[in-house]
Amino acid sequence: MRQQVSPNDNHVELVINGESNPDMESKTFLVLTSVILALGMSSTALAQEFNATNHLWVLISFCLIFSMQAGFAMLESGSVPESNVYVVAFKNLIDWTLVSIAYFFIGFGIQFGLTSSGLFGSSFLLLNGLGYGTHAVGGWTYFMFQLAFAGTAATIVSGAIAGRTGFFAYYVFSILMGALIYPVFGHWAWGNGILSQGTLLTSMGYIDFAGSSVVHMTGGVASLVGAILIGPRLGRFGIDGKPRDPPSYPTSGALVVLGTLVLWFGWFGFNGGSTLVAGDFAGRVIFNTNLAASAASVAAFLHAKHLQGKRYIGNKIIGGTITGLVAITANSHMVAPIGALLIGIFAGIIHNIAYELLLKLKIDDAVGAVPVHLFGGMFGIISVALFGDAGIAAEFYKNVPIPLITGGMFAQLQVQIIGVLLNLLWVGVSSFAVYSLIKKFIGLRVSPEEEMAGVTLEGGVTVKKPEFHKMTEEELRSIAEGKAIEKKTMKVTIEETANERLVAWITSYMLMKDAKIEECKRMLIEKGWSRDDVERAAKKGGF
Amino acid sequence: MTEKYDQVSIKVSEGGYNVISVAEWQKIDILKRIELMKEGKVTFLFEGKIATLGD
Repeated sequence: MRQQVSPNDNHVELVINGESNPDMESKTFLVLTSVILALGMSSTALAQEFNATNHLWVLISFCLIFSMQAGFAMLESGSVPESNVYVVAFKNLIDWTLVSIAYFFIGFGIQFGLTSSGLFGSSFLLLNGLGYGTHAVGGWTYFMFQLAFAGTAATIVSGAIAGRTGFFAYYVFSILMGALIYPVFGHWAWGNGILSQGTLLTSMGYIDFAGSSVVHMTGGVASLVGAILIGPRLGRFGIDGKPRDPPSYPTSGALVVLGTLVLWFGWFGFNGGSTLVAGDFAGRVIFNTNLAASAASVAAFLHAKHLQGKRYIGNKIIGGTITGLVAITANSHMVAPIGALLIGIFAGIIHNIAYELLLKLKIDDAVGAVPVHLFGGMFGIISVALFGDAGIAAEFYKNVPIPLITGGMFAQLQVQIIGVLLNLLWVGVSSFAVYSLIKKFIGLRVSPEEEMAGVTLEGGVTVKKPEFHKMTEEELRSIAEGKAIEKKTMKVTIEETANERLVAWITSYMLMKDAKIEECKRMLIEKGWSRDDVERAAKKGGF
Repeated sequence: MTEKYDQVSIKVSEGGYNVISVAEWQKIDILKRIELMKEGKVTFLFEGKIATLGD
């Protein structure tokens, strides 16, 4: 259920000493109305004035959420090895552009259009029929606000699969994420956002205020499926199955922290804007958001320090903080401050446990997106029932019966669990299908040479590979069957001028052959390298 | 000296590759495997680096 605030809810709310005073509100409203009428404005104009405030708030919130795209770009590019910084940052730009187009063409219509059996919307395609006055804010403002959520869901994936995924594969996935995967679950959970209609989950009273499941679980599940199907970055895990440190170490700790702060800043719009109404309720939402993130950050730090042997403590503080933000997203409109605090504490700990679990399972999530968005999102959805305050919920939902109010915690819990399972099912299956198709027809990864040198926009380095066609059928069969062969005829030619990344690659390539230092140098010189380049390679390779 | 590999990278399209395990590689028909190698679409990997099968 998205929210049930209608345009008629726009009113002056006067709060004295933290409590709303209806009498004072009425008097103030009358006085204000009289003043405005005296100035020659009609009551309709007055309503429009208040409506304009809401529009302004929601549009500012859109801008705040858009800034999260920059936050993700900073966080993700700061978390990957130097060779991949540029392309990872670039993906955060590309996915926004692609989702903007896909969501305009079809995504918004599927999410908010007239429902077909509660499963998907079928109007507003190309935004036809979208006008003003459909909700607390008009259609165009609502579209932009919702687009920001769709963009966030897509960009979550870019970090998880960084360092080895091909650009074109990622283009295709982003388009389908914005056009199909995200909007369908969005329809189930938020399909009543514009039209008064029941969809698969809204009709049950499912609550996901600002997108713990719709945005974050969706991005998290797609990230997990992608990370599994694409496979780990080359060399991410040693032959003993243990993670190797360098790939997971951030290139720039400062960029990672700045990115996290930009995300935090954007989250005030993400959650606060979801009230769609400017007022103190948005203030409550933002307060809860900030408190949960702070609690999560401290909890993740203490947990990593005292219970996990300080392993990856920096990553866990960062990830734990964002997990707190994700977890409070579903329920920030209906929890008391103590609830927000507890949600944050649990979120920080859940993040750390999930982080270690993924390493144990040898799933390479380059920036830790799965513990944050999938596990944080699930916990946030369940927290609606566990920590939701029926009194605050009643204040928000007014006359709309929700399970927490009509049936209590367990009634709400049941619905929330159904929502979680449906998200796992839909996003899991649909993203598996999309990745599988890409794998079959396009290929999910870049070439090993490019991966080692660093993924580039242009398409990587040109290093000639062994010429298999010159081998005998017997030798080819031997290799194809996985049998080791005697070292013999194959000739490897390297025909690329040495640049820094290639030098690094060649060095590791030579080292892998167990060659002696002088032999390595001699071979490189024989292959046309200058002595300076050889010395540079030797220095970089540490031999 | 002998060399070995634990993963195989296969080129699927221009700029598009997949990395598969040796077990998955060996599920592919042997003639198809040889064909892929002849077409230069195969790279053998060992411990996350390119394996060289001879010099």
